[in-house]
Amino acid sequence: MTTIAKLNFLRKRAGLPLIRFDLMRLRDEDIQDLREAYFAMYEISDLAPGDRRGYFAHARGHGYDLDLCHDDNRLFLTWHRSYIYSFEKALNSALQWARNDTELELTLPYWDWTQYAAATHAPNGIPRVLNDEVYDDVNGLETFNPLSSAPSLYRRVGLGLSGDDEWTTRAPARLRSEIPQLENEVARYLSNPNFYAFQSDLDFGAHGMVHVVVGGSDPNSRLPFPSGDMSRLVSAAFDPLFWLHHCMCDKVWADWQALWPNSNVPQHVLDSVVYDGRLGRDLIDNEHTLRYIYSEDSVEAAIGAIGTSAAPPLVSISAAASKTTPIDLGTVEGGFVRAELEFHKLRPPKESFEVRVYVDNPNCTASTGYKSGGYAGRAVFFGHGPCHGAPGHCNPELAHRDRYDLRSKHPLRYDHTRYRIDITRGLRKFIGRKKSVDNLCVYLVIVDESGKQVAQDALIYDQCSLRTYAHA
Amino acid sequence: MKVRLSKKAIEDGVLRVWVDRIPEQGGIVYAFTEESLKLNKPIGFASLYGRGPGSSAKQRSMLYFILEPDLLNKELQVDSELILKLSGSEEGEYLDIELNVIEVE
Repeated sequence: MTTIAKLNFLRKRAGLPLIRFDLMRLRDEDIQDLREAYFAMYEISDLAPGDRRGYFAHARGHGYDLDLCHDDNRLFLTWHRSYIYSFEKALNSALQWARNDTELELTLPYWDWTQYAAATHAPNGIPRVLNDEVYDDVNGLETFNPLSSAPSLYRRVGLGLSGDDEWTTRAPARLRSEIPQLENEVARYLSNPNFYAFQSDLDFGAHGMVHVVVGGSDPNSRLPFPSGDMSRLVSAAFDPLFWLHHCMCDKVWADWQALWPNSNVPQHVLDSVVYDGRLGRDLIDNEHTLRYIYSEDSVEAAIGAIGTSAAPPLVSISAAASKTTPIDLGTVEGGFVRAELEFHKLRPPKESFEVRVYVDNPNCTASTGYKSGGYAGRAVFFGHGPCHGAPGHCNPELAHRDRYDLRSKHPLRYDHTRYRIDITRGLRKFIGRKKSVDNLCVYLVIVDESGKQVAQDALIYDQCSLRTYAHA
Repeated sequence: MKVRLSKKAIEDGVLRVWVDRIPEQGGIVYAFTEESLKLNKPIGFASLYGRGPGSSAKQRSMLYFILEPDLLNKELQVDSELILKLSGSEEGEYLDIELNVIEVE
């Protein structure tokens, strides 16, 4: 079966924007993907709270404890567009991690809170898929529904709660009666072509109302206020429903943009940096810049539109490494003012160590020192240390970035690394007054923090070259 | 706390009350006329999505009241005074609230 995650992977391969669907359009398999992805995010946060693929790393950015949101109400739309974009990419990374399948592009569905149907919604107005605490899995076993509640860092660390009290709650007694009003309200907002007026009415109207009525009134709440998590911004983003609610707000904005294509977005919004360091101007065109669109149609219709593809998956061709020991630099001419040994695509090392470069000394060791023996220069590498994330966290191969995923690059990516060691003085000394030296070789000695020589493969790179500079 | 209805609110059928900083508390804020307060029957309400204890959020916030069309230009006129109260934990319980209002639209 072509799930949404598979469909979007095919669309990405075809260069098409990814589709975010109405939650009510998801089939059983799509809902299962969503549940597994959320659960995987919780699992990653349990293993490593700081892992950017995990739930806490994102939810804490809203109000607790990073408190990055709600300092400028004029940025409501761009801030949250960027926020749920990053969450959506992490959600997909988590699903890929759980399934060990990189050919998935799960998108976040939107919860259309202007609609209610007894067959698909709980009496309180929340879709059953988000509301019911348990569901029957494929084997008919009653299983916890990770879309109904999530562990909260605010509750665990901020409030010191434990056990069941760490999990988010809702008290949406009033939601259902508000639904007809929400539908009218969205129609009202869409009729206003002024960006700030549209934004503030949506923000403080329907958006705020959904937060407040989903949180509801609960005198027995373990939170320091008598309601569920959604009702205050400090706690709201820990509720799994938060992301689908904001996806709906983002869709309302996308609908407004389609209705008013010539409306000006204020300069302040375009120039302001929002969540994850993105600039407002890069968040306006969801289809072409962020590569996603919204669809109210069925998933089947979207599958029919793209057709099926039997093409084999794309395979990346990795460059052959030419690591050499000794490092043959060929003919080197004298007369330079600076000489650097440059390592291309060097993998940021896990351990810290010192790399010493010796010219034409195949017998160099850790005890050769810096004074003689052809010593030319050194560099000290500050290792990134043992992995503090969940499995796969320090594997940049699992954090591929492209125009469909604009999150910042994995810190251990090495595609563009260029480490240089200044060997000017040592090389000059070796060449002396000669015009050039043929077949010049340099040797590396790698020394750990205790001064002990370690194996050459501690330093992994694709190529090494000599770069010399002459007077202008 | 009290606010006065603006001309724009009567024209739009929506009263917008801007607050200088998102309050810590939250809930539903109800609007009453003097008469409706005696009957304990609000004439409108707005959501107050508060920041919650411990949050340093400092953005402006707005209470967005949809005014009952039947009341416009009758009980509700330009400069009419409205009394705002916050929902209590009991049904029909309304608590006093004080917000730093910077603008009424």
